[in-house]
Amino acid sequence: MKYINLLRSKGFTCSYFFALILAFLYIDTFAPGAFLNIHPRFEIFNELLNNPNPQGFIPAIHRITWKIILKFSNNLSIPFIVYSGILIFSLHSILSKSNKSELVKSIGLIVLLIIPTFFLYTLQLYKDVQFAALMMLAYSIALSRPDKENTIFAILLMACFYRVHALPLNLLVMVCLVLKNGMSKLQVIMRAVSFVIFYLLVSNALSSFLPRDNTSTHKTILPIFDLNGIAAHSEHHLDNPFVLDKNRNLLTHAQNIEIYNPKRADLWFMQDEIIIDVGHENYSELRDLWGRSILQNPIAYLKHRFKVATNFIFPVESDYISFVNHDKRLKESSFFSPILNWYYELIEVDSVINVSQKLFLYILLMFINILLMFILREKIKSADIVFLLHSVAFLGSFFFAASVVKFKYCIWFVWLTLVLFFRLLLMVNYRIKVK
Amino acid sequence: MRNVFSCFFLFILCVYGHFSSESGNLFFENCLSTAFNSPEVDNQIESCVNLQEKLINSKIKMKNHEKLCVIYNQDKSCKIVKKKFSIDQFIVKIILPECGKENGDQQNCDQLISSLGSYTEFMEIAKNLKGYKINDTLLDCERRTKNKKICSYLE
Repeated sequence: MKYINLLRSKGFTCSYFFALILAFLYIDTFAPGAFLNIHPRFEIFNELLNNPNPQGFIPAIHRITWKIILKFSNNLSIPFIVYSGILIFSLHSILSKSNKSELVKSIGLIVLLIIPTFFLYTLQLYKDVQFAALMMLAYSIALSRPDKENTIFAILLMACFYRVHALPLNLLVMVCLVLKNGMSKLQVIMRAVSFVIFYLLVSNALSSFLPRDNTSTHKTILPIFDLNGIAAHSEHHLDNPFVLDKNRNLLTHAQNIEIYNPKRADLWFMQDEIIIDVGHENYSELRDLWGRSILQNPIAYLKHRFKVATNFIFPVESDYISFVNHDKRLKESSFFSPILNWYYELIEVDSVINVSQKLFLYILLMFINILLMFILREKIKSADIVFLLHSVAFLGSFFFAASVVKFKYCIWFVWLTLVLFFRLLLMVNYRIKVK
Repeated sequence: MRNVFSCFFLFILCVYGHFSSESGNLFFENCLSTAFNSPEVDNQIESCVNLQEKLINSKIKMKNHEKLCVIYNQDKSCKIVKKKFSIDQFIVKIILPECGKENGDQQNCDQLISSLGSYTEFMEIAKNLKGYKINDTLLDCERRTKNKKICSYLE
């Protein structure tokens, strides 16, 4: 009894040991995850080869962890184990911060893991999924810290996860963190400025340790896409000297409409039909043209952006998730495989995947979370507000910066919304007081 | 204390994963269609045995939208093709021959199709090509894929 009490005092609860067993079974059944898609291999290969030409859009923290992991082993099981382990322990930690029984917390963890968007995406070696797993870790750490430290921690977190370019996205969160009752205007300004400087210092310091991106592709995707979108929605012709046809002529209005695809920003995939003539040397000209075109054609720009956003929120089709190798492994495995095989077939047959990949469901859930947070305002922590604001800011920025319509880009927003919902649900006191 | 224990547990799992699972090398078992620029590797047929080592040692430098495709055959030989593939060319040059063969390997065909997982719209086109016969007419191709451009590569 003495030892049990000692363990409890160190945080070793029943639900923790349950999470431990679950993590082992889960990892043993699914390692090394499903990674048949092109992109994860592309990213891993890139890091594996110590490539001096890394992709600029991959967050710093993601690339650092890849590098460290691949230094020790080239086996793709290891990244899978690290990220799924982090995810399971973080989920447990988030859910355990409630006064519900150990059984309820354990059931909550299982229910969360079998929600199709969790179940299917945890198995993918996408950078977005790993990013989401690290976000869960950050949330769980933030919850376990005293509220005073949360502010600095949140800034550090944002600096690590995003590059300097994401500063506008995080400003909203920063402003909310900075504002407190009873502060003078000067204090608010001083604090806001010091946070921005701190953010820039951390994110720049992180970037300086990493190899630089020598290509300009990631910077040019959005301007080229928006220019094409504006041209396709504008009533008059717009010249874009950066995108040419095969004969190196400027695209006509009809050609702009033909190549425009609101679901896909990456016009490089049309390289058989068009030439994209942009590099480091003329990037600033492209940026100027982009800004000018938006200001001169605001309606066309908003129409184009609205079309992209609509495709994200009400997608016609879901991401395809490959399970070819994964199926083979499931048949070979023993303990979990029959149940999981059955579940996998069930969700596929019933098209649960399609239904669960509608972003508007999670936007609705986000509003429910806001309502629940208002009801439970006495119990919630500032970390809950920070992460909720973060997801709201993310959604807002998506309207202006979204490019390729893929559900995986929203996965951390989806997971954060679901986890927050479960956390709030476990905080609600269901007992009805009888007078 | 609990967090320290969790980290230790994950470390043990990683060691277990490193030594027990061969699946990590699945990375090199299927046809890769990724973007690489490889001055050292150019349209040659190589044994797969030391491929991983070779690729690491050669420090292949990546250049956007150039693709190195490693095609593995059933006899474990492989073909490294460096080409400026577009996705639709990839469908016709790589997927179609595998999926359209009389006695083609269906599993390989499925794996190739699923490698297009990030490009849903192209994957639908590739799926429609299953059962397509090399000798089918251009019209058959257009009917199946609803994509004239892809079928034009057959000419």
